[in-house]
Amino acid sequence: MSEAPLLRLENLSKRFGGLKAVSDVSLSFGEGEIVGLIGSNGAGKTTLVNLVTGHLKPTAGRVTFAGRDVTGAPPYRLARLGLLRTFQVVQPFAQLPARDNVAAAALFAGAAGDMAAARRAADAALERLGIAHVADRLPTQVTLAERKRLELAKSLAAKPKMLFLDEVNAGLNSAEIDGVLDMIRSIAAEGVTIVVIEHLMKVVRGLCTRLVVLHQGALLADGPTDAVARDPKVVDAYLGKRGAAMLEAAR
Amino acid sequence: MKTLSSSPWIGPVLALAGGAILAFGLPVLVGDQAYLLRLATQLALLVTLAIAWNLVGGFTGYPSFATAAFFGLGAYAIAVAQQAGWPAWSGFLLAAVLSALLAAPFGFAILRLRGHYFAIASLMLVTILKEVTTGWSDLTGGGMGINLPGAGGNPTAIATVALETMVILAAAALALSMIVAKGRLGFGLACIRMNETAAMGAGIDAPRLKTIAFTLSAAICGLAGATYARWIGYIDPSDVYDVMWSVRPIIAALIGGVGTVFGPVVGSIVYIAFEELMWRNLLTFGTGALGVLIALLVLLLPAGIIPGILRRRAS
Ligand SMILES: Nc1ncnc2c1ncn2[C@@H]1O[C@H](COP(=O)(O)OP(=O)(O)OP(=O)(O)O)[C@@H](O)[C@H]1O
Ligand SMILES: [Mg+2]
Repeated sequence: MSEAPLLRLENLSKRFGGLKAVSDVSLSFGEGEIVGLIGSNGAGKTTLVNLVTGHLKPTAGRVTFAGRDVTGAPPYRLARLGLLRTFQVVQPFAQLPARDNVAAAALFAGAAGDMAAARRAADAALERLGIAHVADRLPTQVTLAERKRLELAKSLAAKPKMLFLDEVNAGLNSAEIDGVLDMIRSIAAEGVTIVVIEHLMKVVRGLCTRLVVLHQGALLADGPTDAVARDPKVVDAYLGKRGAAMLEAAR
Repeated sequence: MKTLSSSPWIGPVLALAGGAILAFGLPVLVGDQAYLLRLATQLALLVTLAIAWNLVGGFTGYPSFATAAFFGLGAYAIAVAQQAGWPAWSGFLLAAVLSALLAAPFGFAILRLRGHYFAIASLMLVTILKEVTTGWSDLTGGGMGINLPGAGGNPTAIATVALETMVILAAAALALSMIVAKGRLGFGLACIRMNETAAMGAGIDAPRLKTIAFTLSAAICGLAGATYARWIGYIDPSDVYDVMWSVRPIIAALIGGVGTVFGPVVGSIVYIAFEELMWRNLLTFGTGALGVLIALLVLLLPAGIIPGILRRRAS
């Protein structure tokens, strides 16, 4: 990468009491990349996303986004700058219809000037994600797959430059996953940098050109998907023989 | 093009117009019947405090017990101002400004706490202000209380002005509450109430919006306290910092519907009507009967009267 990266993490660390959940992680992400962030349960993936998007404050280290030092900045400021995330456990506004769930992001983080413009932007985002039909329903009245897309629509309405997707495919069937993957590709095609946190090898393989592996909070590997998947350290620590074989089979 | 009925200003304008009509119509109807004057003023006072509480406890979802703190502060602000010979209007201004100036930093600090912790912290402000007021006797008269010299005159005249002021204040609070509910602030507060983490992730500056709601609420409570002080003519710390000033508005909002615009109004009417019936008929059973009313309402209309009606109409 010759140009300045969109997001740069320098020696980022987070301690919970005695536990180093994220330990001295340095990474850079360029514009329009689709990167897979993998690691076993408890490896620190969600914590890393929380640190970057302002939901947790780092114990040490620095975060630079679009040329600004945003270390410890609150989530709403980062969202307005275009750094967005979806939550591993979906976080809807339960008593608001889907349209207004999305309109909130359009109004407060996106470019919408008033409520009417925000609702129009929300309808556009729902349409684009193929869930225009749920606009008037409450989040509790839609399927899991639709709720995951609703989270994506929220992020999209905020006009993101970069998007962290924390296990958006968990719990979906294979057809639903394919649908979401198409959406992610189309969002990335507009120049949005996307980091997907995934356990499903099929997804990682089909989507990401680059893989980042966390192990016990530390960076274990970072490079092109193929090379990382064959890296013996990664095979040992995370993928195991079976995972590597699956990754191979998914080619 | 906006139609008249969809304009966000029609509700607030109607509330203010209705308030003006009531403020000057009620005294004509009531005349010099002291009991009715008192009752109507008490109702307007409860409506005002319930609406103010609802901005924080309802719209934002933070159960505040600080109402009595700003009520007392406003009462003392105007009392001290009048002792110093300031005109009444500047006493009201001082009540609102002091309440807001105290609420902004204090709210910003305690609105990081959630649920019970926030409730307890907000309640502590009542105790602190009561202690400070009692201790600072040079200025406040301490535990002996303080007279409001400027509020003299014949009792009916004082009661009538108090009713007018209180009704206008209630109408203004209702108009403000309508504007907040329909606008960007209310939308942001609703998101915070439903899911603060998601709200922050969607670009909502939660600390700022919560502080604004808390500050607006405090300013209204301060004005209500000032109106009360001029009405009563003599205040002391155990009266104006009584925790009941925090509790009654919450009960009224619970009865009418927490987080709705009209819930605090309807709830206050029901509460005052019930309280009056109890006082007149079952003096000794009053508190117990109030408990029964609250229990019945929680069972029959758990979300309050307004949401109960809306739901019945929808189904
Ligand atoms: N708020 C917290 N307080 C204390 N410990 C935490 C907290 N959040 C996470 N942890 C711990 O930090 C470690 C990393 O957790 P994290 O949720 O980041 O893992 P993950 O890689 O996202 O796992 P998964 O694949 O299960 O989602 C775990 O040991 C977890 O128990
Ligand atoms: Mg996780």
